[in-house]
Amino acid sequence: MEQVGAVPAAGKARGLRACLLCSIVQTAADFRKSGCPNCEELLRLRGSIDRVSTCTTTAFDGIISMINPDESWVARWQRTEKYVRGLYAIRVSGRIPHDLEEELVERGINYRPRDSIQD
Amino acid sequence: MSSNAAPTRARNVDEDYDDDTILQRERARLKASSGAGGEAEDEEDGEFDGEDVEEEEDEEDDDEEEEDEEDGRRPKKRAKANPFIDVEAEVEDDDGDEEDEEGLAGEARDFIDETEDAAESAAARRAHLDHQRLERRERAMLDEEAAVIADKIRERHRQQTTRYTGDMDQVPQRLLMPSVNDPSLWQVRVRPGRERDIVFSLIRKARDLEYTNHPLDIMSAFERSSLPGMIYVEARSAAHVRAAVNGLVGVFVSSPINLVPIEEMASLLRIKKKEIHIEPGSWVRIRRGRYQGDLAQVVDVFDNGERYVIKYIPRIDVRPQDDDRALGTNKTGGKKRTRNTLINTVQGRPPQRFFNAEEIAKVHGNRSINRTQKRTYNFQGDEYENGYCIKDYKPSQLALEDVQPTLEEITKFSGPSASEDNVSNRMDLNVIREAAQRMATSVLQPGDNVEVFEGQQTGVYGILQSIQGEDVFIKPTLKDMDDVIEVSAKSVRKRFQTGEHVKVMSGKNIDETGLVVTVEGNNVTFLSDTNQQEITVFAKDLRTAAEVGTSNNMVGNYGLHDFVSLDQTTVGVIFSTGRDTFRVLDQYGNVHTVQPHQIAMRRDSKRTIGLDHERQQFKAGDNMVEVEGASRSGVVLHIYSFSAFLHNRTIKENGGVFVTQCHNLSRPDAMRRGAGVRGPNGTFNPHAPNLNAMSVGGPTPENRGDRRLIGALVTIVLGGYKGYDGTIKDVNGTSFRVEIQSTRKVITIAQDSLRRKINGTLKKLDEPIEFGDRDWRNGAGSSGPRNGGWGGGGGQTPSGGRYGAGGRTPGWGASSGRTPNPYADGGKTPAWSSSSKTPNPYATDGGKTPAWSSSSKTPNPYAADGAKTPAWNTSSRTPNPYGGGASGGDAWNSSARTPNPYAQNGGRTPATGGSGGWGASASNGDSFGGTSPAYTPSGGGWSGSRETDSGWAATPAVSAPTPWGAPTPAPYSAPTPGGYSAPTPAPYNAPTPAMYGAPTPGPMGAPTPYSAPTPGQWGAAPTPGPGAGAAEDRNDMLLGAKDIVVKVVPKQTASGPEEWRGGVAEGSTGRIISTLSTETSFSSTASIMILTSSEASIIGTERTIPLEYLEAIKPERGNRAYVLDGEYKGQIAEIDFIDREDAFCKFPSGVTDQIPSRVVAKLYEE
Repeated sequence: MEQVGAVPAAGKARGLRACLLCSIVQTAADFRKSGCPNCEELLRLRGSIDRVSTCTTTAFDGIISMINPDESWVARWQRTEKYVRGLYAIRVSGRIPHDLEEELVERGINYRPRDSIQD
Repeated sequence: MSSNAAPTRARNVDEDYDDDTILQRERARLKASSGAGGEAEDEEDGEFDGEDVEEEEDEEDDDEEEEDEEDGRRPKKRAKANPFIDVEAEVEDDDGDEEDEEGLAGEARDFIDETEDAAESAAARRAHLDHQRLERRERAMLDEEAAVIADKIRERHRQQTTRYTGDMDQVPQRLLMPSVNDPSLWQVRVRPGRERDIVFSLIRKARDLEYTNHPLDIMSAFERSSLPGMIYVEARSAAHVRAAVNGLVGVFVSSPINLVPIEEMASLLRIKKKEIHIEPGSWVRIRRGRYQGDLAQVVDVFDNGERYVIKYIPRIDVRPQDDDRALGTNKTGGKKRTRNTLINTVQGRPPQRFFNAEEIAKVHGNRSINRTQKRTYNFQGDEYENGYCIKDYKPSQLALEDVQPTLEEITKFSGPSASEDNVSNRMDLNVIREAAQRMATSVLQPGDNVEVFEGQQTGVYGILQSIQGEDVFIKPTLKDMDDVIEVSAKSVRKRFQTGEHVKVMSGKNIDETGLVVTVEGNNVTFLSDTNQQEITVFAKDLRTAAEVGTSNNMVGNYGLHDFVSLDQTTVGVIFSTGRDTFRVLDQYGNVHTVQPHQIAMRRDSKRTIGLDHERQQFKAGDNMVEVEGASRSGVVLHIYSFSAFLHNRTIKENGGVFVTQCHNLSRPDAMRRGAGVRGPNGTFNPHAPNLNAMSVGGPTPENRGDRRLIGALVTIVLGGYKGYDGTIKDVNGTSFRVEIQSTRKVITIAQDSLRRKINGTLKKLDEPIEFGDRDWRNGAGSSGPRNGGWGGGGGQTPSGGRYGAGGRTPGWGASSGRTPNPYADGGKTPAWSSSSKTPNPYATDGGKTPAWSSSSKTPNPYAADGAKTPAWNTSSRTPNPYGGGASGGDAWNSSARTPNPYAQNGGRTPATGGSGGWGASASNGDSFGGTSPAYTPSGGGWSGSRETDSGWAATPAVSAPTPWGAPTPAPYSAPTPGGYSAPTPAPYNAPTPAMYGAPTPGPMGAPTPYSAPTPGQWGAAPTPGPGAGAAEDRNDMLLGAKDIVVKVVPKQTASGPEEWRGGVAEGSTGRIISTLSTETSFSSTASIMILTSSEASIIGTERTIPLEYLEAIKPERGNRAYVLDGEYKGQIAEIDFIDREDAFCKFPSGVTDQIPSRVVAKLYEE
């Protein structure tokens, strides 16, 4: 069963936040309820309003509806082709908290902030 | 391969029987037998791939052997499923056969190090067996509980959401650029504001349709807030996109889906939004509420910039509370509420004041304030520190950009803490300084004239050469200083001098321009160009500029020289625009300063015509001169009723715009030639005393449709509006704008769908109806002939629609049936009439008969005897406007009323000398197309006219006894653009006013030629005007000449020289490239390349000029010359000697002869 990022129902697109790590866009409530579908293990957003508010942000620009990430060039360009389908931000301002960044380094994961897409 | 072997063998068997073949057969058989096994194997597994046959055969042989030996292979294979055993290792072991009796664990033993003892390995084997059993049981159990499995899997996946792998592949972005194999991006237009919803809808739709028969074939869709009104969809084809967006609310389905070029795809996803960096200390403004617009400073930033702690000066109501509050009455409740509602508005809010606990305690009571920590108070839920209110705000509540705190604000802001909080105070000033410095460099540009006003170099001024960071390099313009100096940008200011013309670049006076009056330090005062007021601005906001007035002459929807209504009775022309005001000169000469909203509407006077003091028509764009008064001249901008607005750059007041009465105007040439001479426009109109006529639709050469129909009551007979009545509001070709009477709706509808409603009967629009009403009474029916009628031919003739006759259709000429005479048989030539599709007012009966002469038998409208030729249609059955004397609208009509000279003269007088008028137009390439033998298609009949330069004057036409009937009626075709132009005002006046009328001040040109009861005027005609003959000779001679140098001269006419007004100034010289003989009565023309002229712009251009206006330049001694006439005509000679009378020419043949000097022309030398 493939997972899909929560898409807000029509007219309920308030309080959208973007994950600072994978740039997926969900409502704050969805983040809190089910976490980030891509990086929940790292971010542990589920159930924690604090985590949600620190690891996601409202400061994002542009929304992508990612329907077929495997074939999509947009997904490749955004480096979200391995993630679930769902809504993604084109650009997310801000960085994840420092402790999380350190954790990523420990795991040998190279953190690429989402606020500057260009190299 | 083995399959190949079989046929080979078969062939050998069939055909070859010698020893060799037997040997071969043996060999083949051997081969075949070895291959047989392989073949059999092939048939079994069907996957034989033909490579490495030998190897595979070996392997397969082994397999066979094993299978032959025993069937214990199956358990062995099952053992492969054992997850703890490395299967590969087992395959290498060839002696597994021996351990078959050990059953399943045999391989396990092999795998285990052989050095271990048997007991250990046995234990391991047992353990393994146990494991296997357990696993089998588990599997069975799991099989039974599928639901449990599903749950478990789900659970496991939930645990495994470690999808974030960071920068997985470290691929640089540029390698991710799209390639042709990637899906394309398609731009879809959507309703602005709906972009995001549509993107959401797309993913929902994709999810819903995922497992249906028609899943969406799009990969992704995105919107960008910076690109409103469009979304981008990633898909492989536009059809997929269309299918995806189909049915979504807000998608503009009709607009095309555009492919984004592959090179632009990446940039769509690069958001180059300006990053606003907000940090503690930054200035922001509060957007809404009581503190709207107030300056605030960021104290702290939380949550990645989603929450700011800011401090600002509070606005606390410290007015004494209502006294009656103490009384505890309820009345005050309402009052208080009123005030409290006001308190949060910009108008009603209290002034900014630092928090003063004591003061507030006085008003609100001691208990209202909670002292929290040191120097911190809580009052009404807000926290106050050092007099500031400290509060959390969301970014959306704050204006983060373009804060630009003013000095006052910052001084005020730093007020109370100046003593106690020095640190923050200093920081404040730093912020300002930085801003000022940024400003300093941003307003300076290389090339600016600058001056150093502080520091060591004070007083130095020069040209700014370059800017580097915060330093600027100045090249001093002082005498002694040559070196470029480097100073800080903030020490430099722009330098202006009195008298310079400057423009304001920023601030509230932006775009004002003016002359610098005084310069005081940083302040520059200049006198505004637009409203003559002194304006003082900072030098940094100025730059020198040449332009006058605001940069764009538009304010709102109105621009310079627009014709506007101020109120119902006042109209005016905008002659200057300010920043947000206009100055308007009204029709009474008063100047109003108005703002855009005071302008009722813009008017259009494009089609308005006025009548000048000679009752000649003029219109906007014409050059006119005042007859009386200041004799100001100018270009007509607009005409309104009796007033005309003119513009002349050289007039200082009112921006060069002045207003005058129409009848006080005259054409400049008419002025010079004096009264009694007709204006060039030929709109001679003796019967248009009705001045109201002036504003009737003017002459528009374009085929615009019959504007006279505007206002007509029509019924729609076709289409969805069938049955509706309406009024024609506008005409454009054959489509009409009709206002439906019942709904007041204006629709565009084709002519076919409309019928005029006249006295209850419906008539087609192009059906002739009596226009007796407004059109013809209004002077000259000027608007009439525009379409169909006179201009009807326009469609076919290259002459641009003027007088149809123009190019191809021989206009009037006509008398002989041979020529496609429009009048003769209008059916063929659309000139005047009828066949044209446009509503032709003149076309009378179905368009077959030309309007002018109803009888096609007598094509000569002028021919006299009324019996045969209804000359002017008096006898015509057709409701010819011209024929209808009653209308009195124009010359033609008048002729009908008056004892018609033509009629009187009977057949003898080919009255139409006037046709010269038409002819003339032919000669001027402009309106009639010079090439068209408009006038004399009838073969020589009209010809000879060429000889007459001045219309009637030159031609003995009148006296000719039978000009029309005669096969060669020489006389009539006077080429002179004479009188006749009058009747057709519309086509004529337009672009080439010069053409008509002007050249022939002949009798026809006289104001009332036709109505003249006495043929006296005609009598005058036969005498050729002075000089006409000479001119004629000249023209003739020039025909065929090439490469000779000519001069543009006035034409000789009976009434004196007539200047060429075709755009080439008199005195210009040119070289004849070619001449064109019309072989008719009309002027031949020459194409000349302008060599010299007073107008530089036309030099080098090619112009077509009638020969009458050209004069060959006399060669000088030694020049090569072209002989224009005589026995040497066409030859080129060298001039040995030349004087006024004679020239001695040396011809190439060696002959030297004396010929008249007037027949030699200078040849153009490179």
